[in-house]
Amino acid sequence: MTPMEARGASLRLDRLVKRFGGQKNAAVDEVTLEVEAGEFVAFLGPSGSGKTTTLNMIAGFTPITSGRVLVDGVDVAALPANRRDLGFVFQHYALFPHMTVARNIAYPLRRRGVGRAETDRLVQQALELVRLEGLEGRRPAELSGGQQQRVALARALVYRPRVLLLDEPLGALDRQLREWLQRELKRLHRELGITFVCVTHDQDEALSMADRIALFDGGRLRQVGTPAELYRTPNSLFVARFLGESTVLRECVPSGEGSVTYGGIRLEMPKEAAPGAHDRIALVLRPESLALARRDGDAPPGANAVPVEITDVTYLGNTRRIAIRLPDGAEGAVAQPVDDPADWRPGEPAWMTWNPRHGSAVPEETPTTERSHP
Amino acid sequence: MERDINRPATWLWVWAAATALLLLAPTLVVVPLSFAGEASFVMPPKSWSLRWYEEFFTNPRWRDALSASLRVALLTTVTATALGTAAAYGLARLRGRAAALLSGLLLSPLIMPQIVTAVAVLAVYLRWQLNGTMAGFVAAHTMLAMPYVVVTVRAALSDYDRSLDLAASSLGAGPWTRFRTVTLPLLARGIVSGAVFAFVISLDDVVIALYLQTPLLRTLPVQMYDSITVDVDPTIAAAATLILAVTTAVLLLPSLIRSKKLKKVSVP
Repeated sequence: MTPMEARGASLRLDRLVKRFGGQKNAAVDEVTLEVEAGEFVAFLGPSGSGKTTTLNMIAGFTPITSGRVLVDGVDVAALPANRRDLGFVFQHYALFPHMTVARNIAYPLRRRGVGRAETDRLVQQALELVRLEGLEGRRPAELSGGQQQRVALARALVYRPRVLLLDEPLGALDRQLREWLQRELKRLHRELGITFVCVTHDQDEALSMADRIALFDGGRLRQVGTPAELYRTPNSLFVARFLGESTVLRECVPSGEGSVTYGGIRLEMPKEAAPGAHDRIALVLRPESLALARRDGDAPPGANAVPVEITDVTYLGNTRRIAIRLPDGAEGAVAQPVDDPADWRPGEPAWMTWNPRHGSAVPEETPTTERSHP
Repeated sequence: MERDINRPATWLWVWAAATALLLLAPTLVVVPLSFAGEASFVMPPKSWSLRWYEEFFTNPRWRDALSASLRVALLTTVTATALGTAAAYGLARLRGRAAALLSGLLLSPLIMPQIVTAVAVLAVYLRWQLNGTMAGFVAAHTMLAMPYVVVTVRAALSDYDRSLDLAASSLGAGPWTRFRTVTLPLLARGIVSGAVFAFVISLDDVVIALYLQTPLLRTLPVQMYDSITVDVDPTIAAAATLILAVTTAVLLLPSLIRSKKLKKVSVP
């Protein structure tokens, strides 16, 4: 019985709904999602988007209004949390302050009637797994935040749950520690083969750790996909804005096969990028697929070009971030490699150019349904 | 000279000492009186002896009263602590108007004039034939003492992190195991202070005990009251000094345990 033999379970959420008493809108609204065994899925979204409520329903902390939660095909919705056999890691660790590290980690083993010798062995193994050997006699209050969260991880992993649920596990830690623990979590996931579901509001965390990201907004799943899919082909303005930086050309009107007009400028667009039949679309462009030219004629052949004004230049190590203003007043950004000799200054006019293949079109949203996001 | 801002000024010490003296002096007068050699309350006593302590422990009236008081107080401690802890735990899980209403109800014995409570209890007990019984005493004292337990345990619960319950259940603990292994140990300090209060409240009660007493079951405060109304008997001073010593010891107990525990933690 070693942690290495542990296997992840598949997880299926089937039209999961949570409606809190007295509230008109559902906190979680018909969320359906398949998580493969051994996958690392991040629940990403702004606060109040339903991601934590969904996680709590999987864990059994929050009663389900309707829908099903299937672990390896078995509906666990009716089981109390203590009989679901899942692991849970809390943002604020939730270690038992009156117990030593060793007794904290032994807690789930004692509940399962594991013998003393076996318990000691498994506790040691769990401590090694999270690299905290030698701290078994300490109390949680004597540990740093990072150490406490690793104890919490050891405690949640020692009984080899098939699914580990993590609720903002790095939210209470400082930046450096967070990045290091991100790598630790990835390592644990790789070594143990357990299914990880991690709630976060930090897009970098989601992008760097997860196999797939489930993006929540307003209690609904907006898009599910690999980090690259979400970044390159967002299905909505919300997703485009929530993940990474983008320059958005609003109110583009399709003008025949493979092209749109944006404020009177004709822009080429690959047919497969069309978001179906919409009379208006928005074109999402990532900073690294954009370039700047002095004159319209300097644009590479076949590239789209839009006149812009430079508003700011920031050096970011290997790139320069050049902030631009579009003809309609919207802000955008171009990532310019530092070895590019072109020297741009705020206030200068320029042409923003890009290869038509790199734009992704999303349905235009009416301003009233729009939300503001960081 | 620069003054350490963390150290109180001298006048503050003097002020505090004067206040403490004002509060304690009337009580402390009984201590020298209990060691008096003569049968009077003359302060300071002209001679010294332990005869009133001897009287206290040999006279069956005093001895029986002491034993009755201790039995009632200990039983009250158990029932008030158990009921009060459960009530506080339940209250912490309620929200809104129901919680406010119930908490007011549970704490009402604190505000109710004791004489009113005593008359009401006597009226009911006469019908139920509970006056003068151990069960009757313990029930009445439990009602008086329980609010103190509710208050101390609620205070302990306000620091209690509810995510520990979720953590315990995610790790496989059912509701009862959760309570036994996590909640109870973490509330221990609040429960112990509540228990101490319950013990002292019961030991201290004279109003209700006066109404419920029978010649067969009378508590120490009642015996003291009787003795002072009947004749001038300095045994009451010895009894008062003993009660003072016991309650002081009981009240200091939790803080003594705490400092011992802290020492244990700091030496790994």
